Amino acid sequence: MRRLLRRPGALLSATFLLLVCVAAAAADLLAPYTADFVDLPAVLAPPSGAHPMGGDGSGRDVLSRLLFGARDTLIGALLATAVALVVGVTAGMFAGYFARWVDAVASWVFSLMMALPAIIVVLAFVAVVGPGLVRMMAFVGFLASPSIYRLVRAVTQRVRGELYIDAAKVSGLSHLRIVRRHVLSVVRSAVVVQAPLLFGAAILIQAGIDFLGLGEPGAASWGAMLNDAATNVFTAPWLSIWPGAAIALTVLAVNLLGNAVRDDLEPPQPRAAAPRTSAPPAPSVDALLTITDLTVAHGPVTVVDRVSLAVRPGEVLGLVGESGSGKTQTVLAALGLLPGTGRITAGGVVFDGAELTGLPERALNRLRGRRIGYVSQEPMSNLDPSFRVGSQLIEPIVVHLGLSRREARQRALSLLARVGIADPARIYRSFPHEISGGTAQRVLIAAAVSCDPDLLIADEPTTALDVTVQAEVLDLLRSLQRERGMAVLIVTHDLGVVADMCDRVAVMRNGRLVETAPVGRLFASPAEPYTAALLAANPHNAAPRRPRLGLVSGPGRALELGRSGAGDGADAGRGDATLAGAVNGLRQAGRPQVAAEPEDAFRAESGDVVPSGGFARPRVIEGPRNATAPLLEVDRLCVDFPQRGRRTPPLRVLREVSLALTAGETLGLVGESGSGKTTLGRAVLGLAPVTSGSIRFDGRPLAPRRARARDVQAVFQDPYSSLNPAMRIHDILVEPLLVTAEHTAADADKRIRSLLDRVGLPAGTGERRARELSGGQRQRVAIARALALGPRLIICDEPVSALDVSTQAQVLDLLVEIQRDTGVAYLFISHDLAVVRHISDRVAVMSQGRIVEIGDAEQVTTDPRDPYTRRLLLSALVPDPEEQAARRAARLAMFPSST
Amino acid sequence: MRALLVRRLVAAGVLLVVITALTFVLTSLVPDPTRQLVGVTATAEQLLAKRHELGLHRPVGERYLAWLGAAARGDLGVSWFTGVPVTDTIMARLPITASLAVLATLVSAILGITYGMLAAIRGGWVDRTVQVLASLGFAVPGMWIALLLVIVFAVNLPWLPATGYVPISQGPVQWIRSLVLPVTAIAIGSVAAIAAQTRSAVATVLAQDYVRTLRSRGLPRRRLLLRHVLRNAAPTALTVVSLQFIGLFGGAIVVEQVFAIQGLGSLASASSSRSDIPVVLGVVVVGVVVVLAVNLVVDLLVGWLDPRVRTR
Repeated sequence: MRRLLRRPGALLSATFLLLVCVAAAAADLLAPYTADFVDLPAVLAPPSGAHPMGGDGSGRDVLSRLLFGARDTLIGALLATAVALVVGVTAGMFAGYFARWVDAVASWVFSLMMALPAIIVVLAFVAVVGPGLVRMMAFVGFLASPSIYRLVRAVTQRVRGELYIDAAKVSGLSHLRIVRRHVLSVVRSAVVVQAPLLFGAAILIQAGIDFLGLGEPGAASWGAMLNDAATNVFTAPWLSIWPGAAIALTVLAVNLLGNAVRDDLEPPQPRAAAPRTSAPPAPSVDALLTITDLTVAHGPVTVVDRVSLAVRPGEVLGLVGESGSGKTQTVLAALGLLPGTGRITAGGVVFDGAELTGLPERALNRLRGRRIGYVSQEPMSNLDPSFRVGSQLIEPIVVHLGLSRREARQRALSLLARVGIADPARIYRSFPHEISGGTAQRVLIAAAVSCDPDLLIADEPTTALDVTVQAEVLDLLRSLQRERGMAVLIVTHDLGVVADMCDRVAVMRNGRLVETAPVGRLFASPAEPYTAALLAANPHNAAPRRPRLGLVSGPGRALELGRSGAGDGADAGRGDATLAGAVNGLRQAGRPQVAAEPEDAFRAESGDVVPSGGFARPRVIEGPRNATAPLLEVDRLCVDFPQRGRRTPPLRVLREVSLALTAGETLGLVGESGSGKTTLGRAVLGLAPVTSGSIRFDGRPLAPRRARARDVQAVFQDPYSSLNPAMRIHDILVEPLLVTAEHTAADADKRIRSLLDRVGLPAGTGERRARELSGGQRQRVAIARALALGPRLIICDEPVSALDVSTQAQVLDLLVEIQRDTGVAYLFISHDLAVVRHISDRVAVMSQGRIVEIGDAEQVTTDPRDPYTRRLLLSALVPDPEEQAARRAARLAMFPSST
Repeated sequence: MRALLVRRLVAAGVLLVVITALTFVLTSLVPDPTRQLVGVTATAEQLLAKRHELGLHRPVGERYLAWLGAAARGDLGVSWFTGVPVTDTIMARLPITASLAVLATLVSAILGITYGMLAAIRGGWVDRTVQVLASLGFAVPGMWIALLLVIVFAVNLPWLPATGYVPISQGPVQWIRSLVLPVTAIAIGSVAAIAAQTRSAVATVLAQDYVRTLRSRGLPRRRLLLRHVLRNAAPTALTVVSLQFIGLFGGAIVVEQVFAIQGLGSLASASSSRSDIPVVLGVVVVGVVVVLAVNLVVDLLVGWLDPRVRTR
C-alpha cells in the first residue's frame, strides 16, 4: 500500500478520490445552500460571489448541487460494483471449482445475460418498475456481473489445475476448505484489479441514467446537472463544465488507481531495447562464429559475463549448463533476439568476418534464416498457430532465395521428406495444432535448414520430446550436419546429448564460461571441479540400489561407476572392474550435504566448487524380501477420460493394469508421455476416476479420498505448482494435520519443525513463502508434506524431473534415506530410466495404457524382454561418448532410423 | 459450420423468448398503467374499456402467447400512447441509430486498432501517449463530450449543425455533416477501449515464442508485423470491436438526446419513461437481435481467422 502511494499518479488519484468522498460526506457542512434551494435571480447566472459556480436553469446553486451530487454518484456506483462482485465472484468460484453441471448451468445463464443489450434492458427495467437510484444501480450491477463471473471462473479453473490443489486433496482437505485456503486468495487479487474499472464504468452509467432523467427523480446528481446544462447549452454553455469535469476526473482517478494496483501486483513486461554499439573485437581467423567477451545484462543484472566461444565451420559445439547458467541468453544475444530488457553491454559477435552486434535489423535479416538457422526448445509454441505448416515453411525460402511459390513448395515438400516425415503433403497442409510435438520439431528443423545455412543454432532441441523421439531427432540433426557440412551450436543441459552429438563442449555456470574442451577429454578428465561435479551428479553415473556383480563386471558400467567419484579429482576405481572398486568410487563421491540451502551450496559463488551432489551409497539389502501380503494391489484397472462431443467414445487411458507393491519397496514406473503412468498414480490417489478394476490397500479396498490421506500420500512433479506460491511453508505443512484435528497448535508446530528437520531444511523455513524457495527446497517441502501423516505409501510423480541434475541427486538421496528410516513404500513414476534404475527395487514399463514389462530393476534396465522397453533403453542417452556411440549403433541396428 | 449456425439460431430464439417473457411477467407485477393512459378524470367505465382495448384483462400468459404469435409474424403490436404500429415506428427509427453506430464503429475500429498497434510496436513515448489518451477517453462521459462539441463547433464556430439528423436521401454531404458531431462524441470512448485492448493483444503476440522463431528466419519486419502479428492479434481486436458496436448501439441513446436525433435510443428512453410497454418490448427485441447477430458474425469470423477454433 505504501509502495503504491509512492507513485505520483496513484497518490494524486487517491487524494482526489478522498476529496470527493469528503465532499459527499460533508456536503451539508460545506455547501453554501441546500441542493434544492431556488434563488430566482440566479437562474443561469454566471459565477459570482453569492454563487461561486453560478446558478443553473432553475436558479439553484451549482456548487452546492455539485457537492451533494457526489453522494448519489458514489453510493450508486458502489452499490452496482458490490452487486456485480457478490454475484460474479460467488457464481464464478462455484462454477470454476466444481465444473460439470454447476459450470454448465451457470455459464449458460451468464452467457444469456451477456447477450443482453444492457442499456436497452435498463430502460425496459425503468419502464416496468419506474425510476429510482437504488433499484437502477443494483440492476446495473447485476447486468455487469457476467464480466466478473467470467474472470473469476477463469482464474478458479486455472487454480484448480494447479498441483497444489491436488496436493490439498491428497492431504484430505474438504472442498470448502480448499476453496477458502487456496482459491479465494488468488481470486481476490484478480478482482482487486477489476473492481476499480467496474466502479469507474458504474459512475459513467450512473451519470448516463441521471442524464436521461431515469435516476432518483429531482435529486441533485452530476448526470442530472449535465442534463440541465444540455437544456441550456445555447444560453449558458459554462454549466456543463463543472459536472462534466467532476465525472471525468473521478473516473480517471479511479482508473489510474486501478492501473497502479495492477502494476503493483504484476510488474509489466519490459520491452525490447535497442542494441548497443561498441568497437568490435578482432575476429578469429578460421572460426565461422566468434563470440568474444560477450556480456549480456537484463537491467542491472548481468546474466552473461565475458563469454568467449568460437564455432568452426562444420563443427558441432555443445554449450552446456544448468538452468540460469546463461547459455540460452548467449545464443539469443548472438542472433540479436534477446527478449525484454536484455541487451549486450560489452563484447562482440562476429559471423564469417562481419560484426553482428549493433547491426540494424534489416542487415541481420540477411543473415538470419539464410546463413544462420535457429531451432528452439518447445516445438509447439514455436509455430505460428494461425498459418499452415507449409506456408510457414516456404516463407524464408521465398524471402531469401527468391524462388517462386511453386518452386518453394517443391523444396519445402522435399525438406519435409528429408526430415523423416512420412506424409509430407499432408503435413504441409496441416495446421500446427494438428501435428505432434516430434513432427513439429522436425518441421522447425526443416525450416531452419531450408536455405542451406552455414551455422545451425539449436537451443535444447530435444528437451521437450520423449526419449525415443529425442533419439530420432538427434539422428536427424547429426545426418543433416554431416550431409551439408553445417556447423552446429547446440545448447543443452543434458550431457547425454553432448556425448551423442558434439565435437567440442563449452560448460557455462552462473553466466560465465567454466571450461571448453574436446568432448572426449571433457568426459574422460574434466579440468574443472564444477564439470566433474556435473558429471558425477548425472543419475546415469549413479549406482543402482542393489549393485550386482553381473552388472559391475561389464567394462562400460565399471567405467561409469568409477567416474562418479571424479568429483574428488582422483579417478578412483577407474578401470577397476570389481565391485569393491566401484563401490569405493561411489563412497568417494561423498554424501550429499544437507545444508541449509542444499543446492545453493552446489552453486556457491565462492571460488571452487564443493563437489557434492554425488549419489548416496547404494543400500544393500540382506537376503530376499519377506514375501508378505502386498501393501498395494492394483487389479485390472481401467480408466477412461470422457472426450469432447457426445458421439466421441471416451478415451481409454489405462487398459487392465495390474501391479502389486509390498511394504518398504520402491516400484519404478517408466513410460513416455501419454503412456498412462501419471494417470495410474492419480487413480491410486483418488484424483482420477476409476472405470473398472480394483485398487486394494493392505488387503482392503482403498478408503474414500479424504480417509485415504493417512495411508497414501504424494510428491508431485513440478514443485513450482505443487506448493501455493503465496503461502507460508508452515501453513502448507499444517494442511495435512488439519484433517486429523487431534493436533493442538503446539503439537502441530513441533511436528512441522521435526518434518523440516527430517527433509534437511532449517526450522526458520516455516516462516518463508513458497515463492522464495528454490526448486530443490520446494521439493523438500513437498516431501515433508507427504510425510506429515506418516503414510505407508508415497506416490512420487516425476519428483525430480523439474530439477537440475545436482539438485536431482540430493532429492533422490533424501527419498532413499527416508525410506530406510521409515520403511515407506514408493511408487516412483518417471520418464528417466537412469533415475528409475537408481532408486527402484522393481520396475514396470508402461506404453499406451498397458504395462508391457514388469520385473526386477536390474533385469528390466539391462536385459529387457519387451521390444518397447529395449527401444526405450537404447534411446536413452548416456553421458559417455564411446558408450553412447555403441548404444546408438545397437539401436540403429535394431530400429532403423526414419531419416 | 451449418450445425453451428443452426445451434446458434436456436439459442438466439430461446433467448428472445426468455427475455420477452421475463419482461411480460414483470409488467404484470406493477400497478395498472391504464389510469395513467386515460387520465385522472376518467370514469371507471372508461378505465375498464381501456383495459379491454389493451387486452390487459386477460391473464399474463395468454397475453404473452398472443404477443409472441403476432411477433413471429412481424407484428409487434401498437403503441399505447400514439396508436402507431410498433414495427412502423422502429423501422423509421432504426436506420438513424444504425448509421450512427456503424459509422462510429468504423471510425473507432480504424483509429483504435492503428493506435493500439503503434503503441505495442513502437513502445516508448508513443506507447505512453496512447495509454494516457486511452485513460482519458475511458473517463470522459459521452454526453459531456457531446455538449462540449456542440458548444465549440455549433455555437462558437457555426461549422456544423447542433441538432437534428438529415437522411442520406436528402444528400450525402448533409447526412455526413449531421453525423460528424454525434459520431465523434460516441466514438472517443470506444477508440480508447479498442486501442487499449489491441495494444495488449499485440504485445502478447510479440512476446510469443513463434515470433522469435519467425524473426530468427530473417523475415522482413513489415511482413512479420502485418502478416503474423496482426493475424494473431485480430481475433481479440475483432471481439473488442464487436463489443463496442453493441455498446454504441445502446450508447447512442444519450447522444441522441443531446443532438435531438429521433433514433431508436430516444424512442426507447421516451417510451420507457411513460411505460409504453409494447414499444419498449419492440426495442428490446431489436436490441437482442442486433447483439445476437453481431456475436454470430464475430464467432464465424474468429473461427475463420483461428484454425484452432475452426476444427473444434
